[in-house]
Amino acid sequence: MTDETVLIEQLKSVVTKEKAYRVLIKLYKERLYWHIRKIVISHEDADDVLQNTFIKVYRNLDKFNQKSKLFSWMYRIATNESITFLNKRAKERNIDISEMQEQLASTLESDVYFSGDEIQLILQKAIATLPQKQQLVFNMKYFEELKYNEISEILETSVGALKASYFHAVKKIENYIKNKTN
Amino acid sequence: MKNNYKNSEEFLKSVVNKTTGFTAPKDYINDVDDNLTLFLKEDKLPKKTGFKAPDNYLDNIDDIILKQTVEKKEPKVILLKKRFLNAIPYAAAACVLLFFSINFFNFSNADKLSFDNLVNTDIENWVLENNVELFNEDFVNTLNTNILGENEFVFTDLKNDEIEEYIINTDNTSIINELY
Repeated sequence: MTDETVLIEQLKSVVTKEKAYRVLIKLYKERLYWHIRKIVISHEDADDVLQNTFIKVYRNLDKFNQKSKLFSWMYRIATNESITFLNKRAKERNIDISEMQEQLASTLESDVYFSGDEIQLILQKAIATLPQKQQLVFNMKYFEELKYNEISEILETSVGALKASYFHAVKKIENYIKNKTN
Repeated sequence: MKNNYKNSEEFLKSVVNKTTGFTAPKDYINDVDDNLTLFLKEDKLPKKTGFKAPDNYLDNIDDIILKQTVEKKEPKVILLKKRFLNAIPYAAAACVLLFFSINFFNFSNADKLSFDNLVNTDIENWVLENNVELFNEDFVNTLNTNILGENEFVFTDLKNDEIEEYIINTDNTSIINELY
């Protein structure tokens, strides 16, 4: 049995659930944090969403049907939680989610938890202008270096569609950077 | 020799049709082109996001999450049915207490207020003490208002056919019994 299969079995057993859950947090907290952070931008929001993600994982362990990998399932929850969070915030401010993300990216210069240089700042602003799906694909492929088939499992989208999204995203980002730097 | 080689080459060409036999996945060549373009574009982009987390945040987050999940005591769910069943003895006790209290109150009031319990001498004393004067007119008025008049016994609503129907449907012995 693979490590993941063993972990899933332990998570589903009442006796070993707690111990296995601690292992699960240790294994995925960092990857999930940075994944969420790239979507919601601010640390405080990422912290909220990360906690909500792990709470949701804990509550729904019994419902995990093993059709996908545990890692993909958790990534999917984290992605959905992040988007739900952004939608909620956008609704509170009575604006569109894309507008919301551009607003968030514009606050990065004054964010104490952003230490990027000028080009990194421009890159984040460029990502914020992309449609939601292209943002997700770009972040997962470019920064997190996930494979297309892994992204496909997380976002439940075909590999072909993901490749097209990524290609368009890179092209748009290149144009954005060229416009800003020239 | 040269002619032989040329002949062999021509023979090979005619047999294998100058192809290697290798094939590539569909759209692979186009993908290579796209991938190369992407590679050149990506190469110019920074590979780091610039985001950072507060010191020790990722070390401490485990405890925060665990406090909200495994260490969090679930609020005890008390079923309404159970709560209702638990309340039954108290409700029953309260009912019994209420029953006795009301009855006691009524009985004690009844003892004090009932005219049946009044002794004639008490009435006489009360009349004398309160200097109440009763005249014949008072008794006449009381009798006139409280005693039923003759007209009140007339069954004006009864019609002849209803009386007939009653007599037909009721056997004689029952009518005789009623008269007596």
